[in-house]
Amino acid sequence: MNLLRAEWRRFFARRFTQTLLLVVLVLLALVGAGVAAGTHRASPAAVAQAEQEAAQVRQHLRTERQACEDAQSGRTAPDAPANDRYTHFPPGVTCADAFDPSQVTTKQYLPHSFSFAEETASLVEVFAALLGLFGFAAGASFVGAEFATGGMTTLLLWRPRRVRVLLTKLAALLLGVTASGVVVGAAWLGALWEIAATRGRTDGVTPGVLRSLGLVEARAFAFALAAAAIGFAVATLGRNTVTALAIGIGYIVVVELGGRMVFDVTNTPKPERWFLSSYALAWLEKSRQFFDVSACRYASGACSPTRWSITMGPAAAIGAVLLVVTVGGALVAFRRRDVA
Amino acid sequence: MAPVLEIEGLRKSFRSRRFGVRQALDGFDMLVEQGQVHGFLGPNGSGKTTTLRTLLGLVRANAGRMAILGRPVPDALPVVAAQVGAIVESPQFFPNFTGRNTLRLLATAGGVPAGRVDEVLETVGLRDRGDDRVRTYSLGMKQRLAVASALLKEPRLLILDEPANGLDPAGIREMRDLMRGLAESGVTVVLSSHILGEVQHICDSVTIISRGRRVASGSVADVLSSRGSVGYRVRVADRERASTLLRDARMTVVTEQDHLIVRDVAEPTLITRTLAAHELWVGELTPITPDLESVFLDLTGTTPEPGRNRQVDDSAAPALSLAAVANDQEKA
Repeated sequence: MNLLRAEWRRFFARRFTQTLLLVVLVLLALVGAGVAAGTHRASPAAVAQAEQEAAQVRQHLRTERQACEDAQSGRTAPDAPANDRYTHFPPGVTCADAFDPSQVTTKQYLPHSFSFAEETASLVEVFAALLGLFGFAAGASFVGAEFATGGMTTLLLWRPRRVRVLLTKLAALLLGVTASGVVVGAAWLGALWEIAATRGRTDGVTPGVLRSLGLVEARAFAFALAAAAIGFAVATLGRNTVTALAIGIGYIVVVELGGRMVFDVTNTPKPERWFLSSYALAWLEKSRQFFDVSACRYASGACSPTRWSITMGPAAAIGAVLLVVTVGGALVAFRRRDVA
Repeated sequence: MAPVLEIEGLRKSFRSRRFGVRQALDGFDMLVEQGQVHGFLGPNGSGKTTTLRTLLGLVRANAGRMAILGRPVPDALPVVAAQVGAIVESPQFFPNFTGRNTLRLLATAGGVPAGRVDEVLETVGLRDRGDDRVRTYSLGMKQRLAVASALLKEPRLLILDEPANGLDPAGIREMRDLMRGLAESGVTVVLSSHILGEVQHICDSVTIISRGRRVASGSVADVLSSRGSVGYRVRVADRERASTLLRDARMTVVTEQDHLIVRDVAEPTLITRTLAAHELWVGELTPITPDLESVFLDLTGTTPEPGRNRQVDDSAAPALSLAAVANDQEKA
């Protein structure tokens, strides 16, 4: 308990942690400013005009749908000009799908108005990504700097049980990231609510929406804590911060960016399944849908891309494997290796 | 007196792809008794720091037996760690933390009362600089902070690797007084240092290591006397004539400004007899005993030679002890 208390204090006393937290706050402030700048509360006159425009479009779609169905069933006059618009739909798409008035809403004809109930979940994902990056870098530095400065040697002279020391440091890190996340996350939700209340919409915030938002937050925290633990473990294996950061940046550049280009050139089916970012998004969103266009790349005529998705279960499994391998490897290596 | 620290047949080798296997410790033995200030000496790369790291559980030994305060280590380290204060090489601290905060964190981690922090800051002379960031400290101040961290636990065994590194002359004297005071209060101090004059001054006993093996150990007086007298200082009125007479008697003579140094002589009476026979009367005849530095250089084979740049691994490799040889044969 003493060690945990000391490590907790050390975590927040470190300038790297403080700087990273500041960077997270600044980035969230910038995103918040963007959201605030892009939202407008509609006046009654603007709402009336938008309703009118939407009604006109719906009426137009009804007319088009009728014409489409007539053209497909051959009910049009023999001398009427052929209309390709009604006959070249992709397989499975009907006139009712192509000209569906129910898809038209008044909101589409209003300037964007930020809705807390509808849009907060995606902005919690932004928070999750930033908290995850913070956790990874802070975790890597928390243990990496100890190796680089000889602090680990000093610590082991006081507390020789290596595995316990490393696990306690990890626990302090996870508690630190959680505490930071709770404070920053609460501030973020508060700011979004304020934007919605003053410049957007707060309607539709039902208990169900709040429960769903709570689950998104919980998944965001799980994601950030996993990132922190992985950063910590990789830095332990490499015995410095730079190794972990280089591996993290290298992965993004080589695999996420380079790999995407290679898969695009080679027309590999379902390339997203090879990227951790796909699983991270699937975890945060419960399920992520992708479109496989590889079959349509050289197809002639109409072609529908194949829809496929990654759900939360496989995403959690991939994350758990990564976590167990890195943290387990770090514990074994730290227990066995000489401390320079 | 009960031994506080025992090492027997310690072996450690390091492997690297580039350099292969390097034997850092090769059957090393060491014994330190309670309440002593014990000097641990050796040339660079001889295995001193590896020994201390192995003893403190930072490095795994390949073979050998070690005990601290009568408990086998590294197994019993969690039990004895609270009674062992150590600094190994020059410990680094987070530069943005203050000295006081650095010690407070260690005290919290080790369950030491916070009040002890001020006591050790006072002891090492950092009381007024405790709230400065470590990055503003000089090398000597960082060294004082390191010693303070080792003293926090009120240890029974204090292991200090080059504690005088970076200290000014006053700091070295303070460190010497501190160690003597600790020894008088019953703390055993193991001191690794290259300042041999200092070691000779404050240590009760020494162990000298070269190429991973012990080359000498015992009380400072015993180690010095084991090398015997290295000659005699002779004062005589007619130095030139005396020099010729002693050389004729097969002695080695070096003429200094106001005296002669005479070596290769079995008995000092031979000098007086030889000179008196020619009516030369000796004003002073003093045996020259070796100092720790010359013994160290001699034992470790690191005496500088004019015109030769000695490399760090150029030190004497002592013969294996009988026990070590037997151990090797058993393994083979």
